[in-house]
Amino acid sequence: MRGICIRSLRIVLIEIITVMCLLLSGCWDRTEINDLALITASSYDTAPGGKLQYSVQILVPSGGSKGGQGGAAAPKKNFIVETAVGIDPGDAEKNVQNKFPRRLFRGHRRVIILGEELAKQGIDIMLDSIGRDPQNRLRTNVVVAKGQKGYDLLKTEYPIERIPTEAMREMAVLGVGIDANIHDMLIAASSKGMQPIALAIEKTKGEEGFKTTGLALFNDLKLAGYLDAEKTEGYLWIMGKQKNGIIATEVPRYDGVVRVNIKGQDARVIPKFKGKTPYILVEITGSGSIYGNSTKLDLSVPDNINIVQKAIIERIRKQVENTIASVQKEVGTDVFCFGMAFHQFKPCEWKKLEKQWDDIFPYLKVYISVDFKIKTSGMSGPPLYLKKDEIKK
Amino acid sequence: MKKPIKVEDIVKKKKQKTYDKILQEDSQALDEHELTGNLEDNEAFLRSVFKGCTDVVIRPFTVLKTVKAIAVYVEGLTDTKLLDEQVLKQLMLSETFLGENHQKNIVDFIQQQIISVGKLKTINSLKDVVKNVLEGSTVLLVDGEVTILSLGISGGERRSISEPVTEVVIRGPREGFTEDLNTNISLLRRRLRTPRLKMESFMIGEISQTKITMAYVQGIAVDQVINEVRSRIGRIKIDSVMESSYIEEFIEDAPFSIFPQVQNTERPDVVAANLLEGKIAILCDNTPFTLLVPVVFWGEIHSNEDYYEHFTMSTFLRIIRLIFIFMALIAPSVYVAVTTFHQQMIPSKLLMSIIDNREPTPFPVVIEALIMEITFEALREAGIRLPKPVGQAVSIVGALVIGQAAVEAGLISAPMVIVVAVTGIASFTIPRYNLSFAVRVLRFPLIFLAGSFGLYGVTLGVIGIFIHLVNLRSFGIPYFSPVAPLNIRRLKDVFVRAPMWSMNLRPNLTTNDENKVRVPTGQKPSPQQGKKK
Repeated sequence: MRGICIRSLRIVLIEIITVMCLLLSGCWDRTEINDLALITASSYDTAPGGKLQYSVQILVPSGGSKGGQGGAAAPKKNFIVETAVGIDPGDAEKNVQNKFPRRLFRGHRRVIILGEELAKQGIDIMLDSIGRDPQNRLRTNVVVAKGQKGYDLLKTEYPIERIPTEAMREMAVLGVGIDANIHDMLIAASSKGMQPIALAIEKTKGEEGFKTTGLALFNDLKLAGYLDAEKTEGYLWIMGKQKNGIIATEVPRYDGVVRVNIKGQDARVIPKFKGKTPYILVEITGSGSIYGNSTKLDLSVPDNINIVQKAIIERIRKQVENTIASVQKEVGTDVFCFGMAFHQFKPCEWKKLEKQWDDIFPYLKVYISVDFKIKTSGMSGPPLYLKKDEIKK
Repeated sequence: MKKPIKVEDIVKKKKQKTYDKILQEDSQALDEHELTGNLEDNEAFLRSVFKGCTDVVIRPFTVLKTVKAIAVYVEGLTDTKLLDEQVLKQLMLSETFLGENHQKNIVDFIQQQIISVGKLKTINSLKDVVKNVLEGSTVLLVDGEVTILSLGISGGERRSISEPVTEVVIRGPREGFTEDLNTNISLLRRRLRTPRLKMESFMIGEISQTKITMAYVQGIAVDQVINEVRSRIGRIKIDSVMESSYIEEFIEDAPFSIFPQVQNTERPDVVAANLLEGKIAILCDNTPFTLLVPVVFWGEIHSNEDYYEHFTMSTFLRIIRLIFIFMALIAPSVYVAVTTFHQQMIPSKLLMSIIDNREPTPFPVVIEALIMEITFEALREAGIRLPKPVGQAVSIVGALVIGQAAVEAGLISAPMVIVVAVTGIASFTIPRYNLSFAVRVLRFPLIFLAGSFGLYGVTLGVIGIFIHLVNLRSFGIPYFSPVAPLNIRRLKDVFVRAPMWSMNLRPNLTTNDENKVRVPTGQKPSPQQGKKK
């Protein structure tokens, strides 16, 4: 009887202690959602005196969306931008936080904007703070504000999306075709024979919103130059990332334009040596189907398809050659990972090349072979508006 | 100068508390009074026993125009029409001459030649007379005889067999148990026409004298379990049994566990099917709810209709049910944890709309969740207890007040209402009320854990629940079998419901090892089936 009493007493005691543990400890890192300031994007710029200007774009809650009521009321701003200066990213952020009643929350930051000036000076300090902080997402997109401060881009509104950075992200994926993010940037920066890239976005005067203008190329974490939209496509061909898109080309001697939707694409970068000189062979393969034809060719005939195919292959080759040439001459940074190819497939030779790679790359010979296949010609052979005798079989 | 402790004192102290004095007095009085041939004596005694019981009728009359006799019965428990026609009329008006056996075997004569009642037995103590009368029999005492006749012509008003309200099926038998034990047993016997269906009766309730019947199929049920059930029921000492839950609470393995370790059902088909899986049914008089032991957790989440619908449908529904049972348990706590601790886990756009909705609400999410859940439980309780038409009004008011007004007023955020509603619907998918109750209650500690520790707390809580569940045993059978301990061959009837022709064996742990085959193999319907000889 007594034994049972002591045992049940002990159980009760344990229960009380457990409940006390629950209620008295805990909760210390609890944050209500309404106490959070959700950072949707932030930008880094240079500030006078070697300091860093940090700006955040913060979501303004709409406060219970009740449809149909806000007819006459002035449209509320969806976001606000706040900025502060500090000696490093963390310091600057602390200064931003001082201006806010709610805790800044970086867990949903989707875009990081780098001012052009800062990008040219180097982004190493910023990269470290982003990689170290567990709140950050590694899939955050990196954008370089071409020709302006990141802060200015951050303030820009975009009409369609509630949050302009949402538009930036979608544009990056749909328009440029590359989801340049922190993760890839860190990998590229820490690998040999690879250089990081970022998206380039600019805000043109007189136009609403902003637009993508291709890629920003880095060399040793310093902005080295840009690729325009045309050359960005060339870059995608080499990287094997032109999985969907459109190529349009004039068909020589047949007077007209053929448009092809790309269905699949791949590329191999093969490092080779001629004697002691290294060179690169890029094998590009792809396939697509015809979606437009203003020539008089009947594309249901295989021979005519071959003619078109040749024209497209030539078009791709030129684009790629242009891209490589301009990167080699104007930027001089190995964004194509050619060095990486040597490092992976010719490790012994790479050891000799490694130190002089920056000097070798601008003069590296690149041979390109393109193999593009047209799979289907759409619903009709020749253009539908042609008369029978105009069609070239 | 210590007094030496006597052994008797210790025994006295350890002795259980006995019943009230009246019980002792009553049984003493009945034991002491000897049955004599003197009818007047006996009548006087019975009148004293049933003094103040206006429903007990003591009717003196003359048997075969010579011998005095009395009939004792309870009005309302006896079929009076049968009594008048078949017993009293026959006895009083019979012209049959007694002949030489007069006086000697008058009772024998009556029971063999005059009374045409099937269920008849002889008793010979006044204690039994009282017992039989209260059970609904009619007792005949004849002057000069010590043998007393007890006629089983019980009758009176009983609820007729109707469809059980708690276990509604779309396809399946519509019969349900009633409050009458004999009817219930007959419903069972109709489904299992085999002498192997055995019944054992117990009388539990010192005052209520309630009949309890334990039923099992000999050869399929495991003997040890039968003995265990028998001894556990036999140990019960209580003044009355109003419902089978009185029995349930006495025979549970873990009396403090919130999870049901005894299944209850109103359906004879469920009982019969379970008996064939080696389980033991405990039927209780005056309640339509029959107990089934031993049970496993998975049996609690299966509906009997799973076996009546096509197996593809049953399998789909079982999976849906499993998902929603888990949702009913953790949905509010996960919402609380994620919105207060792990905001980065919510997709950005979803978080934005949650933020928009939560902006005007004054309470922390935990408090909000608790308010809503408690209100929901209160509404449900109110809806059940009130008369049906009023109950509906309550639920409409509740839905309006909670669903719309609270959100409109900005007291509660809309996502919370959605979470609570989903949780509510999820808890309705649990086919057994007692398991759904366990899930409903366990939600609250999980919300507390979520509010103080986030997902870490929720995980700990769920792990704790699982540890408890796998530790439970129902009459020696692990509660989570056949999943833990795992028996892959028996999983045919757990998460999925295999086709009838492929469920070849009975559940492993509950059935006798020698009689396991339920369906002989090779019965899958196919064009070859008919050709085989």
